[in-house]
Amino acid sequence: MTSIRRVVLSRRGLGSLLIAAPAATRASQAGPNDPAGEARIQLEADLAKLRSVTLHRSTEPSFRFEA
Amino acid sequence: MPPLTEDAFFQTIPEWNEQLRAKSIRAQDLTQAFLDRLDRIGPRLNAVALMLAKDALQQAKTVDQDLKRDRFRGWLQGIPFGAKDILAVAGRKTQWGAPQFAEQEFKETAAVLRRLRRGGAILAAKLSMIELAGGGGYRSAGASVNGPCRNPWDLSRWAGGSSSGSAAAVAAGLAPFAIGSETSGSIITPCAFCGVTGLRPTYGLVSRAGAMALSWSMDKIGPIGRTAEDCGRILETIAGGDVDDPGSAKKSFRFFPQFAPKPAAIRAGYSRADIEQSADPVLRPALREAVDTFGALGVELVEVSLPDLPYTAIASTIIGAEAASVFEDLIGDGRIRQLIDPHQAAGLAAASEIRAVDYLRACRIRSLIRADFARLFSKVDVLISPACFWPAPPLDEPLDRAASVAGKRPAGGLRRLGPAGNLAGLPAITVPCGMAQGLPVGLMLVSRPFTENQILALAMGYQAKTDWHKRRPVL
Repeated sequence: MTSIRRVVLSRRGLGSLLIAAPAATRASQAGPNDPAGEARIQLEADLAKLRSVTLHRSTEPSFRFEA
Repeated sequence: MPPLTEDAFFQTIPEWNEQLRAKSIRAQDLTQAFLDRLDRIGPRLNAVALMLAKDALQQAKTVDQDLKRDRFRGWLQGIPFGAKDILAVAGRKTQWGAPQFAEQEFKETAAVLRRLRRGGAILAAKLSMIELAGGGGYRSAGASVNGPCRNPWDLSRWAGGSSSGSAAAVAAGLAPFAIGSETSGSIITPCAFCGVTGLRPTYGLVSRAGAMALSWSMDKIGPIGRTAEDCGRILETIAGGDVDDPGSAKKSFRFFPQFAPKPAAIRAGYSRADIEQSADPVLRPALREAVDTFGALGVELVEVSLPDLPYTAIASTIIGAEAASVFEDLIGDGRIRQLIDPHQAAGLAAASEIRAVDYLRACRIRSLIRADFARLFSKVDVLISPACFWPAPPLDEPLDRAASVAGKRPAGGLRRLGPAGNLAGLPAITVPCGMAQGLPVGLMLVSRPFTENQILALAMGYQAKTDWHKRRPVL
């Protein structure tokens, strides 16, 4: 299978990744005293990764495995 | 009956079945022996959530009456087992590993436990688990109302999670088999850490009615046993359609490994980089040998890799959003903060902020992942990868530490097969494949939906050539 196929770094996606990188660094530096802050930063980083994936308009969601 | 020898506690399901049918042992005596062992060793491991001695002995008496009259009900008849405390037992405490639910009771028993009871299996104990199955993202082995579950191979190490007690109990010979659940890694990881065989069935094959919901679109219930054959026997009993589970695939499962393709007819996808670059160096010799063993069995090994997608982030978003909905009341009234691990509470609270458009984006990417797997499985029959990329961590070590170290290694190949396979609802089995620094190493096989016989048969072929699944800890 081909790899690096769908992670197309659009201008917006690249921006998200650039935001994500320092966010991840901040998360690792936040320490155990601020779990809420860490959780928010981790969530932001996850969502940035999701937004870096290019989707066609016609791609429908899969809500669960359909046999 | 004379006391069981230490060896006997590690017998397989067919071995117990033969003795019970031959009436050389009574279900009552067998149940009492395992109850005693659970009582004696369970607390040392923090593996037990609730003993069910009275219920178990009462059921064992009924089973013995059936056996006496040659009323055979299947492979599991008369065999005691343990179940993850995520499953309800009517009128008994079901804590879900969380302090908020310490006194929780249900009126109905979980469907999977009812099926096992009909098959004559005897529920001896509820087994410990990570609080709320870890849906908020836990960092501590102690994130359980039952305390940190210790690894039977090294009591200073973690058993894995979230089906901690289920894997530890089977590894320690406290139960011949157990039931666990997996949303993303919760059967495969503890089984790999504890050196037992664990099967994650295809999404929808086993009813989740009566189990705590964490993520409706990803939760699965599956067996943990000594061997692949044990897991097949258990799955045959617990699988099947259920109108009470909206995710049910309404399919049954018959265990026919003899009709699965022979190893010489199987093409297996694997990635050498998983072993040589991604896995912790201490695991590599065992993993190399395991892959070579499949080659020696006649399996054709071909290099494959997953497309570069953020699988972990997708799984976290879907699980987070669904879990935040499941536990909306706890988040809303602040009870979520009673969780032992503050990262769990914070993770669930943060996940409640996930927007619908982001959840839908994750579910749309899941469609791409499913299509990718369909293409991959047009080229290979099975995927083989390390079940876990590092050994069981010390109990006092933050759980993200090993992942953080591993995250610095290259992540190509099948490195993300765990979350990817869970997102696509694929079946997987982990088998013990070696030891590293005194701790078990696991290898995972993954195949197309509803082809459990394929991975079970291949794992049986592997276990016929190796004896890692027969090793046991000294306790």
